[in-house]
Amino acid sequence: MSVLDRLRALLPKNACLSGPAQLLVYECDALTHFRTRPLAVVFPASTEDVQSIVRICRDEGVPFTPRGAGTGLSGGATPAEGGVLIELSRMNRVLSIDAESRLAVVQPGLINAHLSDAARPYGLHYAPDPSSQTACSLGGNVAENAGGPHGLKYGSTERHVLAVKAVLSDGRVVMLGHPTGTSHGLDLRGLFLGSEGTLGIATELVVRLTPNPEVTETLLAPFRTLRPACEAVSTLIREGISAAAIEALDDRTIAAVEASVFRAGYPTDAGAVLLIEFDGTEEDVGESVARTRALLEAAGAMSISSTRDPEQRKVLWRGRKGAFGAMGRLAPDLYVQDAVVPRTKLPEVLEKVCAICDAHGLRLANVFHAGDGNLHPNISYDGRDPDEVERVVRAGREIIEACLAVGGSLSGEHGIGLEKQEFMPLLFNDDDLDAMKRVRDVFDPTRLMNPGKVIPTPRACTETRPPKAVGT
Amino acid sequence: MSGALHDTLRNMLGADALVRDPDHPTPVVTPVDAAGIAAVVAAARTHGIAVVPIGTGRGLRTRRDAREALLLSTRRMNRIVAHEAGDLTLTVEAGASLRDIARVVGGAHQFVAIDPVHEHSTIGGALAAARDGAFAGRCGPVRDQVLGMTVVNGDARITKSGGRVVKNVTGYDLVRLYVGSLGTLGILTEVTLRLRPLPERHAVLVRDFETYALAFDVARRLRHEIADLTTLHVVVGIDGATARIRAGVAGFTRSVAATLDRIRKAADGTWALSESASAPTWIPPAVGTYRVAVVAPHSRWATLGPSIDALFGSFVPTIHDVLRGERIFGCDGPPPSARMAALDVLAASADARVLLLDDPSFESVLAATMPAQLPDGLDLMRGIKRALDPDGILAPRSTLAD
Repeated sequence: MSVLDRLRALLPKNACLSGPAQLLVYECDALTHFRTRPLAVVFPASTEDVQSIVRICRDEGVPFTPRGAGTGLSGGATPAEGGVLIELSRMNRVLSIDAESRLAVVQPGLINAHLSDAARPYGLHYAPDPSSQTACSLGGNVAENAGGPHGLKYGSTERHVLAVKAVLSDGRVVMLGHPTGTSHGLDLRGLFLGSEGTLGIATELVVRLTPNPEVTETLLAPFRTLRPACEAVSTLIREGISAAAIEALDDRTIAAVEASVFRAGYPTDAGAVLLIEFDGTEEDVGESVARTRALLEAAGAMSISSTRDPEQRKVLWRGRKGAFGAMGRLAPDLYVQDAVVPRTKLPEVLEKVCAICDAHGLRLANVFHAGDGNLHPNISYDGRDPDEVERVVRAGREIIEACLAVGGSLSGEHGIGLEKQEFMPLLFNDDDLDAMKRVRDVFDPTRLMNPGKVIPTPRACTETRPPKAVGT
Repeated sequence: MSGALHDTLRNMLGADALVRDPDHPTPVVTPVDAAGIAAVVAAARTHGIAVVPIGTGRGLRTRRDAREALLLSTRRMNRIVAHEAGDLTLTVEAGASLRDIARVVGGAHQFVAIDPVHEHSTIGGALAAARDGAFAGRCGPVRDQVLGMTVVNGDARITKSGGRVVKNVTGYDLVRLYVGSLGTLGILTEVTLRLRPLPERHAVLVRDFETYALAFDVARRLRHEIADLTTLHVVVGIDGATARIRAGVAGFTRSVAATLDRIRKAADGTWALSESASAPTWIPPAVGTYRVAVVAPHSRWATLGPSIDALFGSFVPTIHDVLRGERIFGCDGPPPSARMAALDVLAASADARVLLLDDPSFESVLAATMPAQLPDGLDLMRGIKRALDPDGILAPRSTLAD
């Protein structure tokens, strides 16, 4: 029997796709830059299904790649050539909530925002909030160690996933971590988080739930240009202001947002706006807002408005979270870069990023997690223009080099995937990368599990196409 | 240590790098940089001797592997490499003491959220043991305070992972493996830490109760009703207290005052207030020669607590970290194996874990785990050990070494 025959025998008819038209949409994730058509897409319904699929693939020497909602921006869920794509979207249940312990047990295909919906009756929520949280899956968040605006206060996914039930490349099931967050021996759970589906396939997660804050207040502070806005962020950090989120949008992003369905009322005459949120007790939020107002005024904010009204706050965040979608108006295609720099370096690096894009004649818009130095330079372009595509690729590399030159890193929340493999040697030497390879081989000696991700490998099996529009 | 190895080390590092230790049969090697550590590890491989990394060496009492090994101390690697106050990051060498680190970053009104095990703790020792202290309830566990590190692996290669930025998903996070690995995978040479702003005010409310059960009921309520507690402990049989709640609050002066009022309103009674100008930590007093820690989900403690009392007695010195769901109690000698076995059964039924804190070898840590989780997890750990320390020369008597 062929691999396909064995998979069809294992799964219901609608849980195994192999027709060319059916496979088309699974050729890539939200980074459409790289496309590969899988042999088949399968939809397991249980841990046992995943075990069986993995064993079939291993027996037949066929590579396999786990996939959540396909919203990843680094190509982490791009299938391998001739491989099987294991789609976990049908494993999407909340299995239990222990409100007193502030824990939930969930399946990996659960949509991020749906967990907070389920926890709301208990006065709890799930804190990591990627911009794609209404679409992205928790399993995908685990694979990429996803962040989000409120990661500034609450941390990325790693801080909130306490235990992972995972299927290894030989079909074994292991439980990594513990609901109490304690490590037993080596912290295998911490290693697994952000490993991009190369060490195992998560089939069940124990996650931490966070009490809803007593008070939440959101500030909007426009600036004439981006530089003083970034300097204001550095000041807030230096002065010990502990915000839940500090986000920045530049003038191009503001224009795109205000011209779109995500319109939030950002002032279009500003060179940049800061969106700052505080949550906590009445006294803590009140004190934080008062001090922040004073610092922002001193930093040259054009005005400062704030609101605790849930609907008004929702509108302000709609603009930020819809920014990538809004940029679809600027050009047919969009390339979202993701890099991190020390927070004091934000002003100088952003100027460098602008200069790089100007030099290449590219249209740049910035919207980013300023509070933790996580940049998202977005380059709008026309993918039908090979020359422009080439310039986008060159600018992307120069932006990364500029970030690394000031002590930054390759990714804050999107991961390495296929996109940034080639940059890994800029940050790590051969010995560093070899240590990672040796650890990977402990989990997957056959190297069939999501091959070609994280660690640099030749891209012989992946078709590279011009970057396409993405959403986050 | 053979004469040949002694000569090799002296020639490589200089005579002053070999220091006599009254408690150890062979000299302690004290390199001054990562290259020196790599040279020592390479020489040890060649001569077939194990290497045990130490900070100040105060943890040696509990290391069963130390007497047969070459002791490598990072005491001469104690530089503050870079304090980026504006970025809230600090890069230091492994031998820097937590006390020195606190002094340096305290000058910028910052602190590192890692509790010292004792007053001389080095950062290397604290990260190797990764014993979460009072900070962990509010700031996260020890591993969350580490942004990046450089180590010398068992094959003498110098490798780094992580970075110097506060948000990073670049490659496998090997930092997570090294923190808490007791030096079994690599010897830490340099680390970048996350800093936090020192709170304006740090205050602790203390109140005594007649029984542990009464105190615990109030503490549970406080955890539920007061969102911004920094620490919350129930202490039994220590400093003359039958059962005492310690509730710590840190932050803006005005916020702290409001939270203290909330605590008093939530649990009417006589609370004593103490203030601290230092970081919002608390180093709990010793509860016994041998400490047992049980950590469980919060919802399990209502039934688990009385069961532990029935097994070990309700008046043994105890510290219950209510925010973390961890109860530590002390014994004057090694706990009887029959009681430990019964405790393991209790723990397994309550989704809890049991740790023996004064024997930090993986043998004791793993022996107390839930059997159902052991085989595959331990197998993976041993595989990682072989991958990063192929000859098994780092902490060779740990369970990880097979």
